[in-house]
Amino acid sequence: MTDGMDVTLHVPGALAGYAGGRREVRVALGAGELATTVSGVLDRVAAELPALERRIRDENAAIRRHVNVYVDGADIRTLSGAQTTVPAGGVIDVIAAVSGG
Amino acid sequence: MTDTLLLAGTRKGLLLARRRGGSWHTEPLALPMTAVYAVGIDARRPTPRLFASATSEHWGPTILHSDDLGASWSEPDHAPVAFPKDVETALARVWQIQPGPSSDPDVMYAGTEPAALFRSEDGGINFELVRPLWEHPHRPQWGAGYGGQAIHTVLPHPVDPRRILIALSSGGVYRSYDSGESWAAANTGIKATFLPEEQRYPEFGQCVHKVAQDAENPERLYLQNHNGVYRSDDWGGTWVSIAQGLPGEFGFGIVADPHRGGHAYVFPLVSDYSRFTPDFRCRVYGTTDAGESWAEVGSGLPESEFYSLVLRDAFTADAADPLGLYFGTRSGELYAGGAGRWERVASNLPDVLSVRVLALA
Repeated sequence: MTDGMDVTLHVPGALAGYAGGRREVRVALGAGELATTVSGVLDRVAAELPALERRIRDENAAIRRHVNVYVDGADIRTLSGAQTTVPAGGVIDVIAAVSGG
Repeated sequence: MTDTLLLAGTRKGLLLARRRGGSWHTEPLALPMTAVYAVGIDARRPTPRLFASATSEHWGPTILHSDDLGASWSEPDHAPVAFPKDVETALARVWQIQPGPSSDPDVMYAGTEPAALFRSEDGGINFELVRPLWEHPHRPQWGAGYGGQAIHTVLPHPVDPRRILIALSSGGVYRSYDSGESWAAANTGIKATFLPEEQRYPEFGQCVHKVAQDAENPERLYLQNHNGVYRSDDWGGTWVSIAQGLPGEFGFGIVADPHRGGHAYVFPLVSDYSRFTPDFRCRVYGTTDAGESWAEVGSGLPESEFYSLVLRDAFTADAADPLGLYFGTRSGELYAGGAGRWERVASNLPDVLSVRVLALA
């Protein structure tokens, strides 16, 4: 979204249409901010790309049950969930879980 | 024969079928990998607006609309239907999309899972929770059927725009006389066969499967229950059984002819313990005397070894003369017919969840 201190959100192909066709969204951190949380990143995504964010989280800001989120390769369910720290320069991967028929 | 647009929501996408010059043509599946539990048509507009509720197993629910008869679909950036933050509940899916009264052409309703009613005043683009129903003291005691707990029926009164009636599984029928500001249960006479014998007529809690509005009498309703078919002549105040003459009283959908009073249709199943069609024959039954008698409708449906069924919203009628009926099955067939011969419009679809039809000018 801007240059400078930011984190990168990798968007799955199924959701690229909700990110203007992009597979990668850059989310800027605040001035002097060295890290944020997954929740903080998605709050910023919600402000600019609400149709993307609402497919990752429900209206209670809970990450959807069949969506897997990784921070720098680690499943946030094994960390602190949506409160997992994302450092400046960090990468968030959003991936569809195994489900459906 | 009238040119027709048929919308069939399936478990993995939306099928549009068009009948032109008497022949059906199906289009490639739209909205793939979404369960389309509800389709809706708002024919009050110069160009009818189509709706589809689409739920992705991964990416959640939304409602899309089309103002070009299905050539393209769009949705707002923000969720068209979402629970307010203070409610601390998340939308699972939309089960019903229903135009409001003709006097309020921009009002649309959505019935959802979990069981809630949403109202739109901008033609179905953005919806807001109808809080008085959500805050009803009965709500904590409402149950969930096998398919989930949802409001699947929304019926604005055909004459009085302040009146609206809803039904949910399980909870039963509720009605409002004041535009949704207050609600009361309306289940007198409807049996809850899944309760102990002495508790089978509760004030609420019945597993009502679908309700339909009679074409001529604004106070008359038809109801397919979880075991039982009923009629009310006082807009839900009391219900009487009209199952006599049907080969099975279980079923999901019930459809009223939109033009002929007393005409209604069901797709009977044997019972809740045997959710098959009687003798494994695929059959629609109809009444022309408000449920006093029933008869098979049309010919040409599978005569044997039919092990599928029709879900509550996968059954509808058009406004043509003679009447056209349409249904989709859990085994992915789509049929059109009526008093004459049924024809198969499509097959090999995912489970059909919802069907609506529009006569094209």
